[in-house]
Amino acid sequence: MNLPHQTHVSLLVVIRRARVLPARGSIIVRMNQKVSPSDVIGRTTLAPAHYLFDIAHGLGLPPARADRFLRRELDEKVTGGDILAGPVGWMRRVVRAPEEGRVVLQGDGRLLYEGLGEGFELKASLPGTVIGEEPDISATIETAGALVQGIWGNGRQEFGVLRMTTQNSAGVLGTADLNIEMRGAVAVAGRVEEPGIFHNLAALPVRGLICGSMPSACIPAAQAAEIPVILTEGFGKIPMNSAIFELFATNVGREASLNAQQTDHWKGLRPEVIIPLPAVGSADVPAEAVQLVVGRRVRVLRAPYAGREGSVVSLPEGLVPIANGIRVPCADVELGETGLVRVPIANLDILE
Amino acid sequence: MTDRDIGRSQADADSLLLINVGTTHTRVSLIDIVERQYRMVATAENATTADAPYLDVGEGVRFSLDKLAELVGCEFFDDTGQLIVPSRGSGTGVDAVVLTLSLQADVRVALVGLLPDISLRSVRKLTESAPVRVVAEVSLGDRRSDEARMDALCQAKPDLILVSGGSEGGASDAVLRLMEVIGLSIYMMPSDSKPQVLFMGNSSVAAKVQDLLKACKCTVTTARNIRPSLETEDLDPGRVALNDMTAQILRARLGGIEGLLAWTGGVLTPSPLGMGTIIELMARGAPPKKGALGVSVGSGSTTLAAGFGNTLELSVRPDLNLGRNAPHLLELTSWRDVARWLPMEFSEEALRDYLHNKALYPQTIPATAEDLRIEMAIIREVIRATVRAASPSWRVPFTWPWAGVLPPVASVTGTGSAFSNVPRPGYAALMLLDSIQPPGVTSLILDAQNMICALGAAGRVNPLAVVQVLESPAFPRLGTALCPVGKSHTGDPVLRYRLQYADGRQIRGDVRFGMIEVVPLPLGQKAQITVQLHRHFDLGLGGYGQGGTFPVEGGLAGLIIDARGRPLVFESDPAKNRKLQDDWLAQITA
Repeated sequence: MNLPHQTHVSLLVVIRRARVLPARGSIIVRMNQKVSPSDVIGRTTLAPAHYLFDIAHGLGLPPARADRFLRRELDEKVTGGDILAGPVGWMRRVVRAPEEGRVVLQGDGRLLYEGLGEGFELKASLPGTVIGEEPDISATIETAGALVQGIWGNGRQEFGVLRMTTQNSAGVLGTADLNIEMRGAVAVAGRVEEPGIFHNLAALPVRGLICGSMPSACIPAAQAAEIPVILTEGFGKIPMNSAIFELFATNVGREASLNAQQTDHWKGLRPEVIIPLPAVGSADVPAEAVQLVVGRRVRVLRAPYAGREGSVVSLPEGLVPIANGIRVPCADVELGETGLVRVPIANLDILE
Repeated sequence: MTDRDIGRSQADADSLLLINVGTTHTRVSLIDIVERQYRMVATAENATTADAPYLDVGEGVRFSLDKLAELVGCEFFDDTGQLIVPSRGSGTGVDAVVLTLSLQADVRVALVGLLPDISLRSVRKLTESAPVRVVAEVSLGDRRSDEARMDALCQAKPDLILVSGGSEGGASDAVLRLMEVIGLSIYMMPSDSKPQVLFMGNSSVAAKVQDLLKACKCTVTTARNIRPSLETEDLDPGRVALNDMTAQILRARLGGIEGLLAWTGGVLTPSPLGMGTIIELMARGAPPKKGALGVSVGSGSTTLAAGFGNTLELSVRPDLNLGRNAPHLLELTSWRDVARWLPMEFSEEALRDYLHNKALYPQTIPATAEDLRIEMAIIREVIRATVRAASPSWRVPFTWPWAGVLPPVASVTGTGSAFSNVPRPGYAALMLLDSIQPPGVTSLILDAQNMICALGAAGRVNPLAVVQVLESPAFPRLGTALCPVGKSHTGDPVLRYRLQYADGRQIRGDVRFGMIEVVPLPLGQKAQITVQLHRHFDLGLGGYGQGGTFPVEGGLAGLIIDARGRPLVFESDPAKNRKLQDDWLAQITA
């Protein structure tokens, strides 16, 4: 059984996405609630600071006696400046909370205190209905629409109206091509080449950028950009594959939700673009783990045909020699104008 | 069948099923008796299915076993889908199963020691022997407050905390004070993500450490002190414990692994330990004052095993691989160091793009001649970076006469698809010679089926099978390599040889500096070679200019005379160097 890489490029499917808090907190949406991409659906706090107080030293008492002056219960929520222990003596010595937080441990003249940490808000990121909830940690949202998975993202999320910015899938979006009409849109381009383009796009501002490829030297600029950036092919000068480019072109003017999350193979997370569409007929969830069979639509992942799309014509038995002399399992793929080519199965990506 | 039954049947196993779950591929190999000898009958592989959407490593194993069953005409499963163990004869089932894991799953470790230059350094070195990622370091000497240390540990979210500190009979109060901070940190962590602790410090406080951390509801394992005194370091027990704990963490994380463990009686061997077992075995069988090396470059990690006498050195580098961390290579090596191995111009930008794409699609393989040369150049520098970091701390129980050159080794084994996915054996031999640059006389061995790790693990089940398979065609010699140490000018004489075949035929030749000569000597054939060396070169036969007569064995590439000197010298003119790369490849594949 051949199990190549797989990418969803689907015109209309049912999409279910679990939105998960990075640490336990609170989920603030209900089952069956309708949400829009910018809705906050959960909150938590991150990276709390810890404080270890020597209460006995602070109050000038032996540890055993100091414990009698502890003023808070374990896990009690405390505001910054509140008294944690004391007062003691003529000087009314006290130990105060350095910030809002809670008492974690206390005794033997010592106290461990945890600050509140940074607030974190979890957004829905796509329009849909809440169909599942795990208390304190996640909510699952369902919608119907087109789905395109990317291969690299800069970690940001946004939504906006799709707009094509290059004539074709190999077109390069440069700073000179930017214009005021792109403001508020999600820009789709064959590829980009200049690191400065991300800053200029964000300054316009556009809501996001989807492109086939960019030089890896652009990674720092793309990561620093305040808009989501999604690559569909990889790094270098690879055009956006035609199936993906055409899907975006047919949805110009529609709102798209961009989640440029980084790929997490264990959790099955990839950057993705969701274009919500009215569910007409029998849309289904996208098929996972499909097998490579004759007729399957594929894209080639490496030279000499990187980014090209075609369909599998035959699957030769056993190990087959390729151009560089290596013998590997291969597929014969019809690549449009190029014709029939032999490609290692390891270098194929099933477009489903 | 009970565990005891499994153990008994495995101990007298005839047929062995080896399973190695790797980062991108899962391989299964069948070993059985053929004409009174254990032989590797067949190997099959499929994609590893640990990732979404499968989330079940067992699927990949079953797919691979289906392929293997087709190849050997054997049935492995009964009607209920259960693996048949022990075998029922007539090609049904197997007698024993061995499972190794080389899959990388980002095991995060935090290091804790008393002094940064002593215990912390030892525990850092220990982590190089297992597929783990260091996410935090804490020591009493780091000048941070206890609160800052706690925050560092909590924010790092380690899976495992490695603690060292206090020599035997030495500091105990300081160790306990530090452990109190560690305990508080663990107490603060969510109950579903508390790390395990491996304590390898002063043994006199081990019990107290256990008591202290028991309250935090974390598992504490103790191993022998890795720094029993300021002057001595004893990493071996810690290395086994660390690899075992890493395997346990992966076991808890990997869907479907329990089903596989039911086949092995619960035994799971981390791949580095399996590879180390074989290299240790080879080192023990090596001539005096010679060791053995093994190197594996995969999409999950690079592993280098070096054995000298009774010592084994393991370096596992998950940060250096042909997969998701591929771009990290350029943080340890300049792009020019990679490009110097290429026969064509290649820019830094193009190399960076190549490495980043490799990280996106680790399962892909080079499909053009140019891509193959780029991949080979990257593999060389990945190995060189690993050797450069590891070799200074090797414990070599003998001296050797060459400064700046690795200790002499009797064999260098290249394992994995990096060496087997090449058009001709000479490509693999050249990668090993270029990256390791072994001095003197060395056998180059190819682990063509990528089974060295599983084979090492099989030693506990059937040591005889391991020895016989190691000597079988499953581990073919690429050839014997004669690599004189020394320098000269291109074209100057290095050595003169006379090779006498078993049938009495003779071949004579002169080899000049800067070239590789391959003398025909097929796999399995033995011959006698007489070498006369120029006075500027040393082959380890008694000093510079000292030649001699000794037996050599053939291989897939032949008998290789690498007269490029040690260390290798490149042409300073880029155009000439590009041509040189083509020349070397043409010479070794001639």
